[in-house]
Order: sequence, then structure tokens, then C-alpha cells
Amino acid sequence: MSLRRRDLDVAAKGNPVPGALARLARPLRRAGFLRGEGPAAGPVALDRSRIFVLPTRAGWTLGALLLAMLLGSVNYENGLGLLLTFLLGSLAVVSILHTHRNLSGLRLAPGRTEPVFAGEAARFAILLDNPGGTRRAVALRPRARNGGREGEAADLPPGASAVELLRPAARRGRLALGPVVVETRFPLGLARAWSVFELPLGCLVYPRPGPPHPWPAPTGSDREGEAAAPSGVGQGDFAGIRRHHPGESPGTVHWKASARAQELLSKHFLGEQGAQLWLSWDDLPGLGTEERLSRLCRWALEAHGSARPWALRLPGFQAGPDRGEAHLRRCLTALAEFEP
Amino acid sequence: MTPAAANGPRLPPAAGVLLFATWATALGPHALRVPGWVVVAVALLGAWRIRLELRGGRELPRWLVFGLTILGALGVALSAPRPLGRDAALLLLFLLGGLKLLELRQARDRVLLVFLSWFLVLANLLYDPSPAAAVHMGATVLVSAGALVCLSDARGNLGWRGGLGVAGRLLAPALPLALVVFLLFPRVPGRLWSLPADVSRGLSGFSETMSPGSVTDIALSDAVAFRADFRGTLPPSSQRYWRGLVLQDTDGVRWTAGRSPQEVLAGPPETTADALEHEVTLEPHGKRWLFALDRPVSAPEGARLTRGSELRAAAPVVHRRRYAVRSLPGGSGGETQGESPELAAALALPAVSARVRGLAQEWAQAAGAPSGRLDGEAVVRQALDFFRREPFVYTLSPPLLGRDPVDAFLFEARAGFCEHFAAAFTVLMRAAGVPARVVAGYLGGEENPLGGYLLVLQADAHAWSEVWLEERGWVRVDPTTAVAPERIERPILRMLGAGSLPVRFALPGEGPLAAGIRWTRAAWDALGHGWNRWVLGYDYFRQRDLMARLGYRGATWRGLSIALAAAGGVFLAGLALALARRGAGALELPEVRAYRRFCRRLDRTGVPRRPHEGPLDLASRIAQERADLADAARAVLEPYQRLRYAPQLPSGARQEELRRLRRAVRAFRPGRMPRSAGPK
Repeated sequence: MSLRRRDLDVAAKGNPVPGALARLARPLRRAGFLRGEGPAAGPVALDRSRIFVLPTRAGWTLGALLLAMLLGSVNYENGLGLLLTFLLGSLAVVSILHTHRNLSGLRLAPGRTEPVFAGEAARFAILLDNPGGTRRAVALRPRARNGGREGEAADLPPGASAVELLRPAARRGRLALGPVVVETRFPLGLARAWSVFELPLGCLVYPRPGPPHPWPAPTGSDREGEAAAPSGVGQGDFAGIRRHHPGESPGTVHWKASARAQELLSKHFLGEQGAQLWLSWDDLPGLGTEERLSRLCRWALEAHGSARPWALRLPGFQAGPDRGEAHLRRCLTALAEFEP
Repeated sequence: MTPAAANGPRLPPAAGVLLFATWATALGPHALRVPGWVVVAVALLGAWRIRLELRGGRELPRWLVFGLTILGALGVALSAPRPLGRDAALLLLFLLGGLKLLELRQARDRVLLVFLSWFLVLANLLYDPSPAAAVHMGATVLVSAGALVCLSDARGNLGWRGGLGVAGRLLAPALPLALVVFLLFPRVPGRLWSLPADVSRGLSGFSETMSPGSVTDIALSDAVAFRADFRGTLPPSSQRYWRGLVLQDTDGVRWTAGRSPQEVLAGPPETTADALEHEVTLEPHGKRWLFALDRPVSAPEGARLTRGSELRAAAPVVHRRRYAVRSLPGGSGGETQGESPELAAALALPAVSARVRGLAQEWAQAAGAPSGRLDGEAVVRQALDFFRREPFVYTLSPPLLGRDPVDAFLFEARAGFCEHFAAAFTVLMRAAGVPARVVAGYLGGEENPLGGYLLVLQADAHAWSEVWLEERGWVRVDPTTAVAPERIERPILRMLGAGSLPVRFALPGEGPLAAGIRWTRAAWDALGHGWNRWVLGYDYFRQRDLMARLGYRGATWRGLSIALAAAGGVFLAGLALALARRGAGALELPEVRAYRRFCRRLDRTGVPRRPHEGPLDLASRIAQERADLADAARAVLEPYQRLRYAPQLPSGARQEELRRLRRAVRAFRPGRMPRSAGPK
């Protein structure tokens, strides 16, 4: 199994080891073996240069056992014993080829990843393209140390399929999947074939929503002082029709009008304008950054549920007042990526 | 370890079936070799484990497993056969195989159980290297590989049949590879070490001494002593004397080898053109002598030729051994110089009675002793006449002879086995002044009609004499044949019948049934002999022989290692290539492959698929042009359509659909289908 020579010069740079030694150390240092290669832009195809095979612990044990059997057979001049030893040895060697083939040719591509809140598990979808027959007991797992437990092995059907990798998302921000290990020990469990690769997969992690907390005072023009509770969609007086914004609740769509106008229009209510919610970083003095973000996150979710227009204001960011999924996403993303 | 860890994941059913089958087949053949209580205990453990896997339940706590292991070890220590050797090791291994069932929750334990089974199979081969054991070995390896496959098949989707199938596909290339390694792996002459208990136990054959009755004991066994292959013609039955050891010193009762014949023959042994070359496959007898047609003139590798024309191996023969040797079947030869210490030893007379001495002197007188020149041949003739004339009886159950067996045999009992005749004759010769000694070996050998070799049984054990004549050197004289000339033709057991013997399968003399039985026996023995030659006896010597015959003379350790590495490398590279190519074929989805096969068959009907046609168009066109094929074609095309173009099917449904497609393609045989009414 050969290693690629990419990134080699980068690694060698700034290293004062003299030439000969560096050449010796090179294969070890670049050990694509352990770290995997840099992230690939597109799909990754597992081929000879990417798959590594080494005996498992059972394989090493068998090696020792075969040595003992060989010595015993030679000593007792037992031809059949030798034949048994060689048969088992050949079986193990042939199984190594099959283990390698169980991965070889597999193609992996990044799939979609939905954002999650901190404290949940991030789900990374990986698309598999298996051009051969069923591959048995292939396991995928993130290589990161906190990447969860040993990947559970599954059978890969022929054709396209998808797997989801879970990683705990502890902190808000962008969580990269990082290197992924795909491995198999099929068919005999004596050898392990694996490949480490990296796909451009990241997951947006929103702040963990804080505990429920009363909303800040609405800052609308005519309803000052009201601490409104979340209310249903379309309350208030009907005020007219306006263009539907993607992300607005489908419940607000005025279907009849839309049919006539050949585009989506939504109902517009008077009361909404008056009950604007302003969620502001500045309203929460005396709290740490993360607590503030957590509370804002909670408020944003509740405001979204209330179907009232709401706005979020952070240092260097302002969105709304607006409603709908797109608005919520935009605000949550801002919260996730906020840097004080 | 926490109880949760001890109660790891349950054994998947398919892996459980194969694992248990492995365990049972590996332990099975040993059941008769270990004490009964161990068999019962291990069987109970097996039943307990099966019940646990089928019905569920708790694993034993760790302390109990530990306690049972200690108990078992104690039991082995107490009941192991002494001295500690192979049997004790087997007992321990067998018990371990049973105790391993106690902890089987971890994946590691299950794999270890398979490894342990392999070791038990090896142990079986050490005890019984027969073709049947080889079959057992192959079966166990297949089943155990299937068990390993099922153990690493995480989802358990394969089932035990699927596991065996994968194992078969692994073994198919592994077997020829193993044979290549078997042929080329460099052998070493001799062994690396030996356990004291292994040597000369349970082996039958000649011991270092001969006393009245000792050959009789050997001759009661119908075990195989050795087989001899001849290139070319077999020696006539009168020449089938197989020389083993020379017995020269005696106290009147016991005969021992003495010193001088054991010295190595000085100078290169004489070889003549009419020497008979043969190859002996000797069964282990725990002693150092090798047998060869009387008299051997060359020593095989690892052995030497003594002055007494014996072959002595460098180490006791505790394993079946093959060697090539050349013999001069005339019988005479060897050391011919007078006045050697050897001749003096061959004249040493034990204390003999006056009657014996008188008889011998009488012959010596007649043969010209007073004139100073003794005619040895005349003395021999007189002695043989004496045995013929007097009422001597050749029997396997001679009477007890007391403290002076020679005297008692010659003048009172007059009944005895070959060792009595040989011993008495030799003593008489010495008393008469003719150097003489006893030779122990075998007489006879049954020709195998299939194998072209001679089969020599322990029942052919024999003892005869050699006298030294001035002109001819050592000459073989067999006094037994003077009394029972038919002994040459038949082994003693068949000659005397079954009456005086332990239970034995006596063959009826003639008739088709007897011939059939004899033929079957011969065929079986020939099979075994071929097995011994090519599988068991494929040792250092045979390997070099084969390599030389193949034209490879550099069959040294290094040369063979290089050849082995090269052959193994080429084989594996070819296998990897084949796998990669099949992998390339497998790049095609299975449904596409089946569809292609269908299209090839369709070509033959005269309604070939057009390149642009999809399955639906094709189906409607077939319905128009060949209405008789429409149903069969639709049976193929519909599942294909679903597999290829429908949104993703769940795995089970997909497999079902694939099976349907394949079945329909197989059933699509346009040639066999009745055509419809014909062209309109």
C-alpha cells in the first residue's frame, strides 16, 4: 500500500533534520496511515493508494499459533500437520486480499447536514456509491477522539446508499466532521482494512437554548408595555395581502389570491406590526457571552413560534423585524457564529 | 470485569451453529484418547452452553469459571498418564477446549475457541495421520472458517450456509497455495527435540536381545513392519530375507549384539551392477536399526553400514521413515579376512552341555577337523541333515526349555520357533569350530498387486544364522527351513492357522469371496502406502529427490526458500489480479449483469434488443413480434425495471426482486419454448 507524496514538502519545511535522516523519517512523518490525507473536495474513491491493511490482534495471535504449529509439525515430522499449518496460513493470506477488496472501489461523497443545537448530536450524512456486490460488515466512524464509540458495522447494499455519522456537538459554532475512518474486518476478522479520508462536511451548531425566561418588553409603536405571550398565527385585524416571503409559515398564504396572481401571496394582519419583538444583546447586561447567546436563542425560538415579527440585534448584526423559517435560521446562524 | 461486560452481545445464531460444529468436530476424535470423566465433563459443558444460547440465561460468575478451571487443572494433574508427554498435553488441551465454553461472551473468546479447535485438529494428526484424519482436517477447517466468517459478519445477514459459502470461496485458492508451500517448504533432516515419553512407546519390533520366545512375541502381531518398493523386478520369495540386526554374544540363553559387528564398515561399500535398489518405508519401532534386503551394501542418508552389514540410523526411528538402499541378495559377503576379532567373537562358546559339544565334535571330526583343515560347508550340511532327520517340529507355541535351552531344545523338546533353531544351530557351529552368528530380521513379504511393492508384517519376523566360510565369507544358513521349508512361502501366522492364536480374521483359502477380500485389503494398503509416500513421508530426503527429478538441483535451504517465495508471490499476485478483475466485473450492478444475460439470450430469438430500447419498449415490441415469449420476457423486464428505475428499495425487497429477476432470466430459454401458431 503506497502512501501519497502530497503535503510532503510542507511537512519537511522548517525541519532542521539533515537530508538523509529526513528522508528516512519521511514515510513515518507523513503517515497518511494515521492522519489520513487532507480533505478532498469531491467524492473519495477508495483505491489501492488509500486502503491500508494490517492484521488484527486475532491475526497476530494466529501468526504465533501457526508458528507453534509449524515447529510442532516439523519436529514430529508430521506431513499432515504441516499441510494443516500451511492451509490455515494460506487461508489467512487469502482472507487479507478479500478484506482489502471489501473496501476497494467504494466511493464516498458528502451529503447534507442539518444544523443542531449545542448538546445534541450532529448528524453528518455520507453518500456511498457501491459499484460491486454487497459489502459486508463495513464500519464508518469519525476518527476524532470524541467521535463516539466504535463505528457499528453494517452491510452496504449494491448501488447508492447513505449513512449518517453522529458526533456530539458540545459547543456552538461550526463543527467539522474531520477525518473519517472506514474499515472492515470481513471475512475472517484476521485482518483489518481501513482508509482515513476527510470530506468537506461541517455542521452548524446553534447555541444551546437557555431555560425559559420572560420576554423583553416589546418595543412596538402602540403596544408598549405589553409582555405578550406567544399567540396563534394570523391574529389581529386583516390588513391586506402582500408578497409571500420564502420561509414564512404556509398558514399565512392566501391561496385564492395566489391562484389569481400566479404567485404566492400571504395574508397580512394589522396587529403584527404593533407587536414587534426586539431581542437585543444589550438587554442582557451582567451575563456572560454564552449565557446571553443561550437566552437570545431561547427567545428567538419562542418568538418564531409566536408568529409575530421579531428582530434580533447583536453587536455588528441586526435582522428583522421579520417572520418565518428563513429569518429564524439567519438569526440562529448569527448566534452560532457570533464572536464578541 | 462488570457483569454487563461479561454478558456481552449474544452469539448470532449462524455463528453459534458453526462455532459449535467446529468445537464438536475438533474434539470428537479425541474422545477415546482421554479419560472418561473428562469426556463426560466436556460433554456436559457443551450441553450447558447450547442450552444457554438457545434459551438464554445467565453466564457463570467469574469466580466460578476460575474455580472450575482450577478444578479441571487439578484433575488433569492427577489423572494425566505418566510420564508427562504427548498424552498429558492432549488431555490438557481437550479440557481447555471444554472449559473455553464457559466464557464465550467476548468476540475474542469466540475466535480463541476456533484457534483452540485448530490446535486440537493438529493433535489429532499427530496421533492418526491417516487419509481419514486428512478428510476430518479439511472438514473442520471449512466449518471453522465458516464460523469465523459468521463471527465477523456483524449483521448476521449471511446465515450459516452463506458463511460456509464464503469460507469455501476462501479455501478454494488457499488449498493449492498450501500445496505449493507444502512441496517447497524446506524440510530439515531429523527432529528438533523430543519428549522422553514419546520414544519407543507402543511400538513393536525387535529389541536389542533375543531369547527363546522373543521373536514369537513379535510374530504374533499382524501390524505392518515396513513396505519395500523395488525399481524393476521383485526378488524371488526365497531371497526375501530382510536383515535387521546381528546377534553375536550369548550366555547360552540370551543373545546380544556384542561389540565388533557394530563398528562401521571401513572403506566405501562395494557396489556392483547387480545390486538391487529398493526403497523401504519403515514403520516406527523405536530402535535404531533399519531393515534392508539381505545384504545391504549402501547406507542411506542419516544411517551407516556396520561391519556386520547392519544399517544403523543416527537416531531411534520414532516416526515412519523412508530410505533408499542397495542390496546384494546373494547372501554371502561382508568381512572375509581371517583372524579378525570379529571371527574370534563368532567362535565364543557359552557353557554348553556335553551332549551338545559331543554332537558338534562328531560333525567336526567327519568334516576333517583332525587333519587341521575344517570343511565348514560339510559341518553345515551335517547339521541341516540332523535337523531334517530328527523329529523337529516348527511351532509358534514351544514348550518351556529351562536353564539350558539349547540342550533342552536339541535333545528333549525338539519343538520350537525360528529363534530356537537359529540359536541352537549357531551354538552347534561354534562348538564345531565354525564361526557363526544369529541374524534377526524378517522373512517374506506379500506383493501388493496394485502398488508394486512388498508388504512385510511383524508376523514375518524371523531369525536365522550366518556362518563364516573361508572362501565365501559370511554365508546365510536358515536352519528353520530345513524343518519347515514352507516357511519361506508364507508367514508363520498363515502357515499355522488360527488355532493357537489370539482372535484373528482368518481368510478362507480360495474362492471369489476370499479373493475379493484380499483385493480390497491390498487396495486399501496400496492407498495407505501411496499416502505414506507422498504426504506423510514427504521429508527432507524425499523433497530433495523430487526436486532433483524435476531438474532442480539447488534444493538447499536457501534455494528452496527462494523458490517458495517466488512461487507464493506469483500465486498471490495472480489471485489478487483475479480478484481485482472480478471486482471490475462486479462494478456492474447485479441486475445489469442479469439483464445483459437476458439480452444475449434474446439475440438468439431473432428479436434482439435495439441499442436505444429501454425495457418497457422492448417488452411491448416482444409482445408484438413474439407473443409466445411475451410472458417470459415480462417476467424478466418488470423486476429489472423496478430494480433499475424505482426509487430506492429497502434491502430485503431489493434482494427479493433480484432473486425474481435471476430466476426469470434462468427460465428464459427461447430455444425450448413452443413457437406460437407460426407466421401469419
